[in-house]
Amino acid sequence: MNNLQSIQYFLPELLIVQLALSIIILDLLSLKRWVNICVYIGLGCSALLLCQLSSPIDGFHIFNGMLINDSFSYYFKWIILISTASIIVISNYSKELDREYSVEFNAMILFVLLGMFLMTNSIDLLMIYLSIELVSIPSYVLAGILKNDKKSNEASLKYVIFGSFASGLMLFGLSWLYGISGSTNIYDIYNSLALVESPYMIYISLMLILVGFGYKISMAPLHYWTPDVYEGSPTVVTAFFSVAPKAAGFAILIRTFSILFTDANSLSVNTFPIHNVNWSLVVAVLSAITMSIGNLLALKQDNVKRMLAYSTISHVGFMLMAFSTTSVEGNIGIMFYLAMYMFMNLSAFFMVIHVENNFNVKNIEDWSGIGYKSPVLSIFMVLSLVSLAGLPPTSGFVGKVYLFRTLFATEQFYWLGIVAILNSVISLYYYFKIVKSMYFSEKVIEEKENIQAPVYTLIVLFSAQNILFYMYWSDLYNYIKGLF
Amino acid sequence: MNETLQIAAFLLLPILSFIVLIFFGKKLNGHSSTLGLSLMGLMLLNALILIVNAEPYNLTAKTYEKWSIYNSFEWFSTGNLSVYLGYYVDNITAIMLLVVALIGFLVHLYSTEYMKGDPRYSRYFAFLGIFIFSMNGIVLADSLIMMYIFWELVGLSSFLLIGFWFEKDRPPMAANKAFLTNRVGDIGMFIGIMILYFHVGSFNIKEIVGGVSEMDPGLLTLAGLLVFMGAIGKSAQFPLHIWLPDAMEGPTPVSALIHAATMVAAGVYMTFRIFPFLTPDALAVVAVIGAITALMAAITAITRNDIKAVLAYSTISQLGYMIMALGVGAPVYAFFHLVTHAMFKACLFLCSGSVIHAMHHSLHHLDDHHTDPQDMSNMGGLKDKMPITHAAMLISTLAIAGVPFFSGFLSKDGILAAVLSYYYKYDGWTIILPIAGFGAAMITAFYMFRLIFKTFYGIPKKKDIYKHIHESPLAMTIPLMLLSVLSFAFAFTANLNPLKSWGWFKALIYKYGKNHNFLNMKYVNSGIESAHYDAMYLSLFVASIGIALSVLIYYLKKVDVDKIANLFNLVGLYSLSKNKFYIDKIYNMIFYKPFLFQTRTASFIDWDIYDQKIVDAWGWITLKISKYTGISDYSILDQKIIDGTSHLTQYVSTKLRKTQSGVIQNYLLGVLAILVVFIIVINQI
Repeated sequence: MNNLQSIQYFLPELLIVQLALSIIILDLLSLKRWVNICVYIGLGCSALLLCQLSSPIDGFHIFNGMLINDSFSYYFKWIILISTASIIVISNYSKELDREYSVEFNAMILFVLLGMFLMTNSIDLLMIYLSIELVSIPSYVLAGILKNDKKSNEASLKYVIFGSFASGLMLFGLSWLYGISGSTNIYDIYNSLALVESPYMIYISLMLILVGFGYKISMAPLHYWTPDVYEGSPTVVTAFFSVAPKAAGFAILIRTFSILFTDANSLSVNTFPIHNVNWSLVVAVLSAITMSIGNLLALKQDNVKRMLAYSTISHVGFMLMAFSTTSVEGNIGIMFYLAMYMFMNLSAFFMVIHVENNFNVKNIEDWSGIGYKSPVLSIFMVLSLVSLAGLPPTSGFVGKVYLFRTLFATEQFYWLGIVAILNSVISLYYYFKIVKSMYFSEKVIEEKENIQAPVYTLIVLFSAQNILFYMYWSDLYNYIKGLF
Repeated sequence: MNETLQIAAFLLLPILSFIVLIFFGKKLNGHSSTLGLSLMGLMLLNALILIVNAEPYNLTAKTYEKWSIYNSFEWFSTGNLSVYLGYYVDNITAIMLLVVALIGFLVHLYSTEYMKGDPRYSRYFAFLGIFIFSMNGIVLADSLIMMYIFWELVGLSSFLLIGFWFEKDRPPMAANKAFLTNRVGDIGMFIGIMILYFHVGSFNIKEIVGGVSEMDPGLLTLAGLLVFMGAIGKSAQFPLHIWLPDAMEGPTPVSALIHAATMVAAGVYMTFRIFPFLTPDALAVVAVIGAITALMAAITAITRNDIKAVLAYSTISQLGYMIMALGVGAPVYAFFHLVTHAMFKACLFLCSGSVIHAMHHSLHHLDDHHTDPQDMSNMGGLKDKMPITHAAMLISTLAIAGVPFFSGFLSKDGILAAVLSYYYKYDGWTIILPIAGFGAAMITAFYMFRLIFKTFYGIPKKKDIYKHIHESPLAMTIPLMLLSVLSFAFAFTANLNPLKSWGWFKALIYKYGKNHNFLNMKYVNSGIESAHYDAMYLSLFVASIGIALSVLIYYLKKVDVDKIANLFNLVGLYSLSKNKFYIDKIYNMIFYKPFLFQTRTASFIDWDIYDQKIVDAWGWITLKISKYTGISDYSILDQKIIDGTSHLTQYVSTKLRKTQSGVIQNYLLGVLAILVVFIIVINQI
């Protein structure tokens, strides 16, 4: 499809670009008070435009084969859009952020949003690289947005170095692919890969590309940046990093690997790794390492943000477990889990923001007595933590059941299942450390609690989904199934 | 949509009354009756609008165009089972709704005065609301399962209203008895519904009627009878009729509404709906049960002295008539009798309520709390003090006795004709049906006039009570007047010839007796037509005998009552009647006592032997064992192995923490090292 025809499938992204640019202009014109309304309306319109689109799983190749527009990407876009929009709302109420730079903050987030949208769509090596960079570079700025905070600066710098290192390796891997096939479109590359005799070349490029994607989703051993950056960044930004880029990273990982490195060349077929390149075993091993490292390190953390960072890593490990089955069911399981994960993780982070705003605490012990200070929100926080731990009656349990089900249904990597179950047990401990601190410590908090309605509403709303999707998950599951 | 809304109003208005009154009744208090009454008024209006839409049967053109509206929606579905709820409205439904709405409205009006000063005034009206809601649900239901749901709901509201004065001794017992007795019938009904569902695949009555032809006839007979068991319970048929006389412990307006006019008629209504697929064998059983009930209850009624008990047995007897009519293939007359009976029996009950009300006030005035205000032997001569009540009661008594010019004559005559034609056709044992029918007709006339004479005529038995008797207020007498007008024959025929029953009412329901899966209804109906005159003369004859005997014994006092009683007792009839055929005693002997014995034995085995001896012994043994396992568990397993695992995890965590040094150069080196390892090692595998 040529460029003009393609635009009709590209309207949400175009609107986001316009939005980002126009709020910068508004700022320059000293019309700062219009910025928020403009962003809300713009994101709303973007969501409406997203509703308008519809295409099959095989999709339309737009912009001369640079991007694809398919039902798979819509789903991820919804997750990305919802989580980003909620972050933008919350950011207005965070005490950490400097009001003066709120427009820059919004603009950066919108650019990241655009990049993440493109990540879900890319089918060309160039676009893959560019979209990942479009997400990464504003993210560096976001991590360091607290200019006068040393930790924030350090986080930003570490992020830059680690990110450029990973993208360099990925670029190297992409160039191997180009060298093998002489093409940048992944569908064309797939056709040439079939002719390659030695799997070794494919394997090396695959591993290098995995570095790039793995860095985005914080897969071990590329998780190193995660705790440092999460701890240093403002909490709002941490909450943002923990969901939306992970979803985008999984989208690009699933799409690229399923199309390039499997026998099927399609998303909608159960398949096996391409000839003799047993990358599903690699993913399985990495998944085991990722979840174990995430959980084991979370055990000893005192800082809530850092603990949640490790918990993010372990959740990524669980999702990778489903990815290692290279089946459609596995991909559905990941997509399903991402929706559950978005609600439980964001609600937990919002609660952290709320507590930080009001009581200025960072460590788990400082949470003591919060259960009595803000009883309603605490109950919802407990709900989110239970969900993160994957216990019934919450959606985290349902999501995890599907992840395990795909693993056992494909009848390989039983050992991975055992590792995952052990890890679930470990995770109970550190999530309940917060609960214990909230309810079972006798500390009286003197500070007055100042409830901000949007924060309150978002916590309750997102956390309530943990129960909702526990009871009525089948509609969402069938919807995702219908996409394929 | 408009229609659906109109139909839904029949459920929404009463349930609204219930919800508002149950939650805000305390605040409304005196106004709660106004609310209930106005909502019932709206419902009555709605019912009248609905009946205007009903289409009468065109006799000359013989058109069969059925007017009906129906709709249904899926309630839930699991696997293969989909359950639908919906309504089906035709002429019968519309008439039934009108009856419920009319009597419901009048009872509300009556109750405003009758229940005045009751501490739970608003709750009473709330319960009436939920009853009317449930009753309308039964009437509107298009499927047996929905009917069953509302069937249970009327059972519940009946339970609540019988036991309304729960601080007294007997009402709660009566409520329990009614509820439990009904459960027996309902279980049969549910089994029947499930049998039908598994063979036809639907709960919808219309679909069942269409689908039963492929069922095994024996099984269908069984299923039909099981469903009919529900009617035996609810319509108080032999052998489950024992609850209805006790149910009179409830407030009298409730007896009029629930235990005379509407709820007990629900069984007849349901049997009417399932009539097309009842096999001839099942119908014979239905007819016999109806006949036994009609005769037995009539005989029992003779010796009752409680004014409401007479009416209760009379209700059972009249319900027996309807059931018998269904059994001999005359559903139209059964339904006709249902409607006429609803009017005159509601009137009778409300009249008795009026009398009791007057008696009660008089006793209250005298500060006498021992005399039973319901006992007829304390009454007499009330005619002059309560003229309106007397007139209304006389009219409705004439109606129930089957005197021409009154409504009861029309419908009862039809039923008796059907019974007679059934005997003409089948001969043999079926002779018991006409004997029961005509016998009960005679006895009905007798005991109803006995009631009238004992209550309103003669000299007052207790002068001091008599002195303070007053006619009831207008809110109570208006319903009486209206209902007694509706007990005249011309209210149903608009036709002054007393011997012709054709009229607007029959035109509405005539076509509903034309359809049966197994019987040739044309043949049955022509049989009824030809037996009509025999039956009419015979019924006039027996009714006049009954009335004449009553006049002789109780008005003119020419014959001594005791002598007659002794005469009848030669064949044991008097003591049978006096002791209600010993049915309660029989049940007590063959059901309750063995059951209680069984439960006591079971309790003895369970508690005294099993729990106290065996279980406790195990407890002791377990205690000993657990002491030793506790030692091994805690000291060895818990302290060493489990805690060891935990310490190991913590240790690994501490060690791993060192990898996260915060020095970015180390991170990058680590990544590179692992990448190289992966590329080299894993590819070798």
